[in-house]
Amino acid sequence: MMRRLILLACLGTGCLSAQLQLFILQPGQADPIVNVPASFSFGECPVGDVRDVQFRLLNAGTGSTQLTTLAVTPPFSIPYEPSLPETVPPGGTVDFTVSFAPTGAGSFSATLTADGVSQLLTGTGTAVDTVAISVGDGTNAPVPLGAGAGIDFGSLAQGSTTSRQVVLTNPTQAAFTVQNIRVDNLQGSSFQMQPFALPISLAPGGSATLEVDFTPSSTGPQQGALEIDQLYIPLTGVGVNPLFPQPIILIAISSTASSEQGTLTVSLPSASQESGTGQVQMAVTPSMPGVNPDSGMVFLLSGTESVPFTVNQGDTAGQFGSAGSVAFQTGTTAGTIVFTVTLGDFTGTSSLTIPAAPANIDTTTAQYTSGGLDLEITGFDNTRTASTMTFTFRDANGATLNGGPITVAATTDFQEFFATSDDGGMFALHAFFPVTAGNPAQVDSVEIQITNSAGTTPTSKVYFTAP
Amino acid sequence: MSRRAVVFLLCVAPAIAQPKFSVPLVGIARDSQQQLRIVHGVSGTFVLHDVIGKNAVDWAFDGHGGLVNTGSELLTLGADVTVIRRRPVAQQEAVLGPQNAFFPETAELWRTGPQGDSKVPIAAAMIAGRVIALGPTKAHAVQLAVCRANAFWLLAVDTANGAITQELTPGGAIAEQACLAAGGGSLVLLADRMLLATAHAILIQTVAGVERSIAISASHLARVGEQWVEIESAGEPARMIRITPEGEKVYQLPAAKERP
Repeated sequence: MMRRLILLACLGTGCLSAQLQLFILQPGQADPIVNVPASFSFGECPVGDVRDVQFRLLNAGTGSTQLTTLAVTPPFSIPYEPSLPETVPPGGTVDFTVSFAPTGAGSFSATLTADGVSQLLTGTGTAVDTVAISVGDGTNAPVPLGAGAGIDFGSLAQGSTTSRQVVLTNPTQAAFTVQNIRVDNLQGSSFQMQPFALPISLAPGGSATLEVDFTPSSTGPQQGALEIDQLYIPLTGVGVNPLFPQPIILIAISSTASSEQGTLTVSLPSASQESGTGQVQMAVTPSMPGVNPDSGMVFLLSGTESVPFTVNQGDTAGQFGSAGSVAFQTGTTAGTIVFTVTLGDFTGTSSLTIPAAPANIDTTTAQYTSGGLDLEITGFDNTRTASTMTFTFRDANGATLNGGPITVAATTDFQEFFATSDDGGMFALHAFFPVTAGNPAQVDSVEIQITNSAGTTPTSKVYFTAP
Repeated sequence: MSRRAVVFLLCVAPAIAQPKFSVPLVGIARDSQQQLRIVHGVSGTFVLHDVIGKNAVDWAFDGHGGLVNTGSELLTLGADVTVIRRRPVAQQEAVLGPQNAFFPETAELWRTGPQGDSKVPIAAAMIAGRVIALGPTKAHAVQLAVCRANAFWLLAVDTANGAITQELTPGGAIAEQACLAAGGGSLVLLADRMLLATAHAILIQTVAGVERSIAISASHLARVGEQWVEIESAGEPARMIRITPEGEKVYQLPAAKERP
C-alpha cells in the first residue's frame, strides 16, 4: 500500500527530498487512495447537513519533514486537527477529515493549506427553501404556499378523509435532492402521508407531488406538521361530528301495553350528508319504585336494551342490519319506556307509557289426580302487586263445588317471587288443592281470578283433564 | 245423585298446598349460534336463557318432554327442559317427535320418556315409504307422516306391537306439497293440525280440513313447546308461532343475551 502511495505521489507530482503530497481516502472503495484533482468538489450538501471527506498527507520525499500548518476556511473545517508541529518521516502519512457544512444555499470554496500543499475545495450548499411548494386539493391547480404558511384542511367529519397534494418544484438550475419527508401528529393520528420513496431527486425545473391525508381521529382542532428536510410546514384541521339530520323515532305497536312486540324506525327528515353509526337505547321508569329489572324489555335484534344502526350518505332512515326498522318487546313492567336515539351531535327521544293493568293470564292447565286438583297458571302482573286469587270449582253441570269460591291470599308469595326474579312481572304458578273428601274426578272445571292493584282478571272455564 | 249431594261429598282444601312460583317456560329454540336454548316468557315477551345443547341438528319438545339430535347424541329432555338422558346415535339421520325418534337407515322407531327408551317393533315394509315427521303419541299410537313416492300418507302405529292401525291420505295443499322432491319442506304434526314450511309460506291444515297459510318463507319448523312451533328462515331472526284452538300468532324471538 505504502509503495503504491509513493508511486502515486511520484507519478503525480515528482519525488522531492521532503515533500508532502495530498490524497483522498475512500475506505471500502475499490480504489481507496486517489489523487486529488486541482479543484476538489464536495458536491451538494443541504444546509444544516455536513459532508465529510478524508484526506491523507504523505511524505513522498526521502527525508523527514515537519508538518507545521494544516488549515482551511469556513464553511470547510478540520474537526480533529492533528497536533502540530508533527514530524513526518519519509513515507509517513497524516490522515485527517475535512467537513463541509454550508451555511446557506450557493457555491462555496476554500483553500486547504499544509506545508507545501495548497488545495482548492469547493462545495454547493442546497436549501429546501429554494424549492417552491404549492398545495392543491385535487380539483383546482395547486396554489403556491407562502413562506411560513401552513396547510389547513378545514373542518371535516370524524372518520371522513380529505387530501391535499403538495407539489415540490425545483426552480433552480441545479438538481436538488430531498432526503427526508415525514408527517408528525401533535395528537392522535389525523394526518397521514401516502407512501413514497426517498430520497426524491428534483432535476432543475422538475417537480414531485406528495399526498397528505386528513382523517380526524377525534373532534376538535387537530395539529401536525409536514417536515421536508429542514422545512417545517404546520398542518391544521378540525374534526367535527358527522353532519347528520336530527333523527326522529317512529314507533309502531298494535297496543300500548305490556308483552307486546312493536317496531321502531329512525327517520331522518332530510337526506344525511354523512355516513356513520348511531344507537337507540330503551330504558324503563317503572310505575312502582324499587322493583327488579325486566329482562324481557329488549330490542329483539340485539337481545339487549340498546341497538346500533347505520346511516349512509343520502339515507333518510337508519338501517338496523339489513332492515329499516327494529323490533322490540315492551316486557312485563308498567311504567314509561323511553327510547333515546343518538346520531352524531343529535339525540332524540320518544316514550311509550305502559299502563298498569290487571294480571294477564297466558296459559292455564288443570289436571285432577287421585289426591287433588293440580293447576298451572302462567302470565304476568305488570304492577307486581298481585294479592288474592279466587278459584271456583264446578262440576259437569256447572254447579259450584265446595260450597263456593276458594279465595287464597297470595300477596306474600307473589312478592317473594318477584323480589327474586329479574324477568319482570312474568310468573308461573303451580298450585295444588288437596281433596280431603270425595272424588277429584268429579271436578269438571275451574274459573280463576287474580286481583292486583289495577283490577281483577277472570279466566274462562279451565277444564280438568286426567294426567 | 243430586247436585247438592255432589257438593257435599267433595271437599277441597281451601288453601294451595305448597304454591310454587317460577319463570314461565315457553319451550326451546335454536339461536343464531346453533345453540339450543331454554325460552322463558309469555306471549309477546321472550327471554332466551341457558344453553341445553350445541350443534343441534333437530329437536322437538311439547312441554312434557322432548328430544334433541346433536348429530352424535340423542338427548332426552324432561318437562323442565333438563337433559335427563343421553345416548350416542350412530346414524346421523333421525326423524324426531317430542317422545319418539325414527331412524330411517334401520327403520327403527324408538319411544323415549323419563322411564327409558323402548324400541317399537315396526315392520319397515309396512311403512313402504320415507318417514318425514312424527306426530304426538295418542292412545298408544304414534302418527307417522310418510311419503310414498309423491303421495302423502298418515300412518298410525301401535306403540305396543308396531302394527299399523290406520292409513289415510289427507287431501289439501300440505298433502300436495309435502312429498315434492323440490318443495318437501319441514313438517310438524300436532294433535289437531299440521304445519308445512315452504319457500313462500307456512301452510296450516287442521284435522277438520280447514286450510290457511302464514306468509313467511321458512326453512325449518320444529315443535318447541306445548303451544309453540319455532320457525327458522334463512337470514332472519328465529320466530315462534303460538298454536291455540283459535288459530296461530307469530312472534319474533330476541337474540340471546349471555347471563353473567
